[in-house]
Amino acid sequence: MRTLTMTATVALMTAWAGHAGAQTLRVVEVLTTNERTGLMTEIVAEFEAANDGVEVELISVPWDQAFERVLTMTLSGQPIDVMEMPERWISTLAVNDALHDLGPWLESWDGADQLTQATLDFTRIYNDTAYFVPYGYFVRALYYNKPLLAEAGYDAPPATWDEFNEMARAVSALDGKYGYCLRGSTGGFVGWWLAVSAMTGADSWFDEDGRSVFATPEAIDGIQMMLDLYNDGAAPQDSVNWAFNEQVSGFYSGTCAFLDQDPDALIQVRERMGPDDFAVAPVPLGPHGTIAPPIGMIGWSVSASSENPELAEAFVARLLAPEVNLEWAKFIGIVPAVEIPADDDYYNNPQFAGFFTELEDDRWDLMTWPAHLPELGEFFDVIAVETSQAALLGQMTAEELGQEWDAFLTEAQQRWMAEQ
Amino acid sequence: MTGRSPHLARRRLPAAEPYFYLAPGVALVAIVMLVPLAVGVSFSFQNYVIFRPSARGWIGFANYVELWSDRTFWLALRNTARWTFWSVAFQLSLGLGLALILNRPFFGRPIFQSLVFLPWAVPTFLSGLNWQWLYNPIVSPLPGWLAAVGILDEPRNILSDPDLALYGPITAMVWWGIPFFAITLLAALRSIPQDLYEAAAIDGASTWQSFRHITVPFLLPMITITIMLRTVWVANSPDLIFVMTGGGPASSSQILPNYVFTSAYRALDFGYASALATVLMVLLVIYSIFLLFVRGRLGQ
Repeated sequence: MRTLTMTATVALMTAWAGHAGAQTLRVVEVLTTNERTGLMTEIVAEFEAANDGVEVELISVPWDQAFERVLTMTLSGQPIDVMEMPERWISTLAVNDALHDLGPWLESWDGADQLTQATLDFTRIYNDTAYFVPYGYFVRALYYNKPLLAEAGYDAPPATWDEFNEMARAVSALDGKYGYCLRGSTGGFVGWWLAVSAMTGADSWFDEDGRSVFATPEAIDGIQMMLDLYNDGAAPQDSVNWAFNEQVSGFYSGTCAFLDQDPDALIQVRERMGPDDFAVAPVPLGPHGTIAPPIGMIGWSVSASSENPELAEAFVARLLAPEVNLEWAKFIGIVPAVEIPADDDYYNNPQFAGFFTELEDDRWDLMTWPAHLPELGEFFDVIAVETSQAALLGQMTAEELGQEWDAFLTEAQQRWMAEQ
Repeated sequence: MTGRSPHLARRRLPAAEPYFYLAPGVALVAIVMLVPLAVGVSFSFQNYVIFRPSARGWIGFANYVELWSDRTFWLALRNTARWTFWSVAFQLSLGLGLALILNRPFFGRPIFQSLVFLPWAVPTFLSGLNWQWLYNPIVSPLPGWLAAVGILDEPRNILSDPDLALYGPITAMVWWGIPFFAITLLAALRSIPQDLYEAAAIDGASTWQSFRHITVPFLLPMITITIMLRTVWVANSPDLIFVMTGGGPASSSQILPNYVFTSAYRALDFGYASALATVLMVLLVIYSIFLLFVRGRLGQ
């Protein structure tokens, strides 16, 4: 009996020791795709093999509800170690002390040399603190349908907004076809900003006093240009309600000829259109000869609630290794965070030159969203959508729309400046 | 009389006994329902904006005052009434019709019966997506048919028309919710004693008369309770609207539960969202009390 008790105790103790030795690294991913999951599983297996007793738990959150879920998880103090992080979320999470400062680690990590300089700079996008390391970039460029343009009598994509307007209307004259795949619903603000940026030549939303550009006469011209496109039938009537899926399917089904999108739309477009049917051009330039297309980014953060930040940093390091990052970026369809090798067929394909022209040519003055404003999410997803839809439906004028945006953003920016 | 106190204590103890047995249940209900409810309502009296942790604190009725002058709130409130009324009205009338048909024996009834209850088994998100595609003129014949019978002037998407957008989710909700009314009303119909109809037939009552004087009075209590349940349920369900229109275009199909969601997770203002949710709850409680009162009257 006594031996039995002893054995049981020893067994229990061993089990306990084994439990204490095993560490769980909780990783939250928000942009999961089937292809990416395969690569992630390999990375995890390799990481677990290299770190004895470490177990990686992947938590996949669907993109549509990702922000709500991540916010609830972090604020309720659930143990998370690594989080996939778009730059837009950082201000909200950082202000609630939910993110770990990666600065000290980045300085000591050898692999940091292999990231592009831009990536290193972008780590400190909020409050000059390294709250994340971007793994890739979304650059907005203009996809165009080659056969549709040819049918309307054009053999090259538009270089300026004047040409764009003319071509969009010419394509719309074809039966059942439209020029512009306008996005009136969530995420549609990018299109409006391109028009405003083209007309104003502005490469930022605000001046030094924190006043926004949107109420200026040039900005109103840009807004009016979008409204005219819609009202003249150069965009489908239905597009007032279009979000990502409708906009992209409108393009690959051949309903509309121009699509302003990030490289991630390539995955769907390439699946359904032949290589000769479409190409990607840089977004057209405005009357000032410049434009400021937005550059978005997504990366990895370590949670402040992590019990083992060193281990979490080691995992992030693995995810950002050049060979992993290049393949990873292709699966999501973004521009990678490491230098692109000259022999890389995927990124050097001339069909996608539009993205890289914008990255290399100074006339395309890439702009990051003002991610320091905590109100940015509300502006993009609520205010911009509701008001721009009202304007498209004729319930508001271009001027009223510009003033409404200006009022909200100027207040937010000036409040932020006052808090600094 | 004074010497009786021990008996009284002994008598008081058994009187308390049932409460003693009930206590665990009551405590459970209090912990999982009343406490979160109280916490939720207390948010509505606070400044609780996620990205301004330093400004958090009690602000009295400020959220409610703001709500009073909020255009979107009143629009959402009107839309909630419209959405609930039309959804429940059509579900009730079509569900009642279906129950009356299914109450008579006919060839293949068991198969037909299980088929018509199928929509209830479809997840709302899925049915929302299906209906969204059905209204899309590029892929679906539905807008063409609507135009052919003269409801629309041309085959276009009603979900992008601010005047009609709400009717898209309403049709989806009606389609999805008819089986619930049909099931409950069918069960109630089957519990009506057949001899009443036989007696009425012997007395020479017409079909309409036996419907009016036997079926309706027997069904009424069930109808009121089902209407109450469904009204609260429909008024509280944002999912179909969320999937099909996102509250748009330009807030034209926004209802209160959607507005609560946007306030909490887009504007990140949990205080204001709680105030909106509290108002919705109070309105529904008043409505339910009213309906229960009506039902009590009917029972007499």
